[in-house]
Amino acid sequence: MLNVIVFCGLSLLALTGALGVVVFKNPVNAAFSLILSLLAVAALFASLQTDFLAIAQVIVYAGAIMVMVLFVIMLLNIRSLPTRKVNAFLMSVGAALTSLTFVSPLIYLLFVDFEGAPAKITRQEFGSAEAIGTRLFTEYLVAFESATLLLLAALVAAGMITRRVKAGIELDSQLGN
Amino acid sequence: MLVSLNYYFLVATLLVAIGLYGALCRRNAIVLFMCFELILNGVNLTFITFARFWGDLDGQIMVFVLMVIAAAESAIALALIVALFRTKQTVDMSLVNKMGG
Repeated sequence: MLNVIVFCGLSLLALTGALGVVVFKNPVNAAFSLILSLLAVAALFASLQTDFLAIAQVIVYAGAIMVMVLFVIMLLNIRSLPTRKVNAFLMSVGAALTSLTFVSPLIYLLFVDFEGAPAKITRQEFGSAEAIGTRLFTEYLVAFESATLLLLAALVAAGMITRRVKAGIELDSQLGN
Repeated sequence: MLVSLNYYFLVATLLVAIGLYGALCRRNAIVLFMCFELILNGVNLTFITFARFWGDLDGQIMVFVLMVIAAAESAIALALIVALFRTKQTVDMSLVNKMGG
């Protein structure tokens, strides 16, 4: 019973946060709403006995990535930027229809019988950092090493992209007014 | 005792749907980026649920790799947004048509 209540609360939080990202006009509010959603999803991970990834989700997503997003929002001073008027109603109807069309195959998953899941899994061999680490450094060593290369490449690329400033455009003067 | 895994799939599906909706109808580049993160999270939840169903670690490894890719992607995406802002002074994607789209 307690399980059901916790699950309902967490999924409600996750979905409310997700809706907030879409609904809020101010990107700062959207970012905080997304943090709420990410934390709730991390708790859902934990409720599936996936402890290590729940913690990784909190640190990587809700911590590092969202802090970076907030920094960029702060850097750009988005409220005063120009936008274009569009037919918002038409756009949201089209977006909703397209989204439902793309997601509708997943509805199949709701009717599959998943009762075969083992009711109890020992933490030691499923969700612990030790189990994942062992698997990661033996069977998936190549994937792990290429992940480090990917991160390094992304770091260098991000530096290169932001380094080049077109002549004549001063970032400071744009931000100053 | 475990809540039926179908409900976890329901939550994941709704996360993907909301993220896709936002990615299609919002025009602020940063909000678009956050919507992509939502979609990735829905996918992550699906992977974890399947991993729990099979009682196997492979799905978790996949989610771990996905998190790495999301981190790399966010670094590049935010750098692109900053570079875009420097050249166009806007992050409204409907105003960005430099490639003729």
